Amino acid sequence: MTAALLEAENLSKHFTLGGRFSPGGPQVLRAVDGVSLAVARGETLGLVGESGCGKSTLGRCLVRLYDVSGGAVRFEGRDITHLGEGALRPLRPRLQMVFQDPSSSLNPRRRVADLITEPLRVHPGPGGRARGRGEIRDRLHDLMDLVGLAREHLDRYPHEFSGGQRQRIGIARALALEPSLIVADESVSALDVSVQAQIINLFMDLQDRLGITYLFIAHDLSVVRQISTRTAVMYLGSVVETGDTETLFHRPAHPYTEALLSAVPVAHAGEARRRRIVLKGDVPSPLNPPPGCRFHTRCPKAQERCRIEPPALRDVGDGRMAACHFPNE
Amino acid sequence: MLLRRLGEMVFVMAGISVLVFLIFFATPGADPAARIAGRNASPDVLAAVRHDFGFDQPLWVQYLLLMKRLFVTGDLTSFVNRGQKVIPSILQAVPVTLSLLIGAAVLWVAVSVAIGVTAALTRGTIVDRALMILGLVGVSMPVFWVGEVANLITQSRYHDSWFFSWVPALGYVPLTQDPVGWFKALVIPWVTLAILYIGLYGRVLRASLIEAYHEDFIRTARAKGLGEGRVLVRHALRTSLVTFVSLFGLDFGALVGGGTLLTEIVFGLQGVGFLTFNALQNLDLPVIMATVMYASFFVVASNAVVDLLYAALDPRVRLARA
Amino acid sequence: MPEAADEPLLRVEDLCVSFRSERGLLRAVDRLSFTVAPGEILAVVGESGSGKSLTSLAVMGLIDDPNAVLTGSIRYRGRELVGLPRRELRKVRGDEIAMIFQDPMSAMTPVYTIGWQIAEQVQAHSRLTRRQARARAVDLLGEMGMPNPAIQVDRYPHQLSGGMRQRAMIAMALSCNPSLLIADEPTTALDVTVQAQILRLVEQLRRDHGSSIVFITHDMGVVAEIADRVMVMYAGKVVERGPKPDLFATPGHPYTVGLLDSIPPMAGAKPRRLPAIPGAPPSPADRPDGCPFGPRCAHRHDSCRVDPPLYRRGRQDVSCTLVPEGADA
Repeated sequence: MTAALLEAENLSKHFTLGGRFSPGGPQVLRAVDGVSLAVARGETLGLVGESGCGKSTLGRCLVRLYDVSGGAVRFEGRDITHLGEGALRPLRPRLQMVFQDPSSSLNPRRRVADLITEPLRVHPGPGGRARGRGEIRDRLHDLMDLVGLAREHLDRYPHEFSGGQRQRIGIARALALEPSLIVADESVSALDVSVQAQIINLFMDLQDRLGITYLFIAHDLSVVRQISTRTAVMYLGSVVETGDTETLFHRPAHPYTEALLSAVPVAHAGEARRRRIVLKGDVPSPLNPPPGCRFHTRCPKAQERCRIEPPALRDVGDGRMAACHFPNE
Repeated sequence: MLLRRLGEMVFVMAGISVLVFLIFFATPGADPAARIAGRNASPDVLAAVRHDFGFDQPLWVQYLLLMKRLFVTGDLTSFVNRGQKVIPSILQAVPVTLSLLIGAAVLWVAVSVAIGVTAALTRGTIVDRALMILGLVGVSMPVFWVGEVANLITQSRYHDSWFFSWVPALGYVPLTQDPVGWFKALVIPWVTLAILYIGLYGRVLRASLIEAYHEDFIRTARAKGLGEGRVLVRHALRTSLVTFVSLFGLDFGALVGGGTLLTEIVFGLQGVGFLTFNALQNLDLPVIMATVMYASFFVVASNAVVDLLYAALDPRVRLARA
Repeated sequence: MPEAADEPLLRVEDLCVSFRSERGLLRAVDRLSFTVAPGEILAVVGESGSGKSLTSLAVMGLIDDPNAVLTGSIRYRGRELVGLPRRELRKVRGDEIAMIFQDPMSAMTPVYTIGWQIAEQVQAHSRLTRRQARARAVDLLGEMGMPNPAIQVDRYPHQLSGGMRQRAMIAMALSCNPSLLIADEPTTALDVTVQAQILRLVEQLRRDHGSSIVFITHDMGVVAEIADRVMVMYAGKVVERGPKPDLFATPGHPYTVGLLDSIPPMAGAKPRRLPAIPGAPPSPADRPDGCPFGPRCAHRHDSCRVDPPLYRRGRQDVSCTLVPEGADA
């Protein structure tokens, strides 16, 4: 494997709920608990899981929007785990994030041109000098062409655009400083299906043209399959399986991945329907995760060992890693 | 939970007492002895007064002395009317303030609920607009002005007309002595005090009802086949109550603590507000200290009550704490 | 009331929902006709602004916007619901026709327990006592697969997980044994594994109670899973309808084709690019003249300037001029 662009080592993020004075004392929510993950240069790593599994928190820790509770984050080979805001600033242009709801991350009172060029005006150009007006305008035009926004819409405000167009604005903003990595957090989830396909295509085109690396966080498995080269599956704060996307979707090693895949309703006539595994019950609370394997309370294959000993993520062949005592072949 | 509340209350009240004490005793140029001794007192007299009241001792001794006489022995006496015990005079004033306030509160809650509900149900129509303008008028009229106008009409100008001849002279009639007289004496003060809050609460309730009507659960309630009346009372009004009640608790606390001052003065009601007003005019420190303590007690207490009500009304708050 | 043998349970004819606005009357639902047979599951599919949710609210008589204008006919068991006095409509609502909503968190009153809310509906349509209504609530919750229903009945909506809340919502809707259940995106807010549980529950309902279900969704996968018949809506109109197998095997309208193609496949070869539909669904304010899909359609030609009627093609009805010409979309 080539050197990882972004790497997490035994990363944890805990939130403390309730203060010292609240009844029962403070509670610790282990949103991300000991995750190790590497994103190689030029690839797209899909990160899937159900709500509350910690995938968004992990994304935010990796770009250091959150402080990390334990473990290490490395970007371009450099340890950024404990860098302060000031030390992170020079790195920010290369490490961008695109959010789910573009309308809430775009200032409604600014024009599109201002929104897209803001990062260019805030961050100095190469060599530490401020960019000139002409340079900024040229870059703006490039960016709008790149994401498929018409130049005559420069002076419009975000509310005059549809959801898909707004997401294009958000992407243009993230691209402005030529990032090497974009963390896309549910970036296509709020869009209509027909528009969602356009934005997925856009992400893929941009990767072809600019060689950007993505960490693509989504709950929609078919979207993740389309866009990512590798996939990681999270459950209750931990990564339970990683692997090459095709292998993982075709032959999931972890019973949770298997159940998750089988639960997706399939629209296409030609696709053979998987045998549906309907999991019992709900995801346990991350405030009080079960001992042993965290999935054992819902796992159809759970045995005595699973209730006691937490499985480590290990190689199960074909480039797959799974955290399971009894992985599928 | 309750213990923590009590602790907070003591802490806040102690803080306020120190602050008030410092303002009146330690501010340069505000020599209380000079005030008490009179304008042209000779230095000898001044010194005597100073010694008599303990002003020649260190500040913290003065403070502790004051607190002791206020809370422990309860024999604090007024500086100005020597011999007048502070605590009994407050206890005497409390029923007046409570009579005024409770009556007004009943009035303003009833009328503002009626106004808020009517306006929300007739939203956008003339009725709604008229009610809201009336509410705004109510909010904008100062209490002392309304009170004076009411007095002007009922006490002098038209007192002899058949319509207002029942209005007694200004002042308070104890409930235990003469319930009818109590009622007559207080009707106009009630209305005067309530007008502001009717306007305020009517508008607040209308806004929160309209907000509630946009909620999904109202649509669900209708989809269940419930009648409009039930949708209004059990779903919209019930969820709007949280805002309304917390507002009410805070206002009520502030008013018990002396916020009724203007109304009391205009109508010659010798309540706590009246007492505070007189004490401030004479810089009667023991009385000020006592009324401020009393006021802060009610403000802090009503805050605690609001919190408890909040939890009682909203299970999300209640269960988050449990 | 005598019922003809082939009389549908619900017959909607020429339903129009318009809104008075500064720009004149905007038609959100445009001359919509459809029927629901006893015991069938009709899926209504569409993207945002297609008018699918508005249609369901119209059937329930729940459009209370003072600027809304509703015309046409909605017949339930042969009885006209449009123009029915409120009091009469109330007897039908919740008792004969019930509805479940997308987000059970906001659709349930936060200050009452789920048991209280279910009992409220039961008591509104029967003479049961409080105690009996509560017992019915416990039974229903148990039937919906909620563990420990006798304890859960006293919990508040916010104390339940998303899946359990939706079960409570469904229990409430079913409390009076309605003949018709309208489900407006009931699984959209849920995770896939929970969605699978709820879909299984819906199927079970139809089997055990013989209820008709109108299932509104944007997810073609869910449609493929659950529907008997499908109605595809676009810009307030029906563009295609027919039995599920036919519609998925040979979709007739270019929009249906596009919608199916936009979904990334879960198995088999990945397309290099998703065949996305260009543009975005129009809002009611700027709907095009003629065929509403015209501006986004790859097959557009001159005759599309006139809004096409529904043409018959096999067992499907398709609103596209390509059908009578014999061309395949």
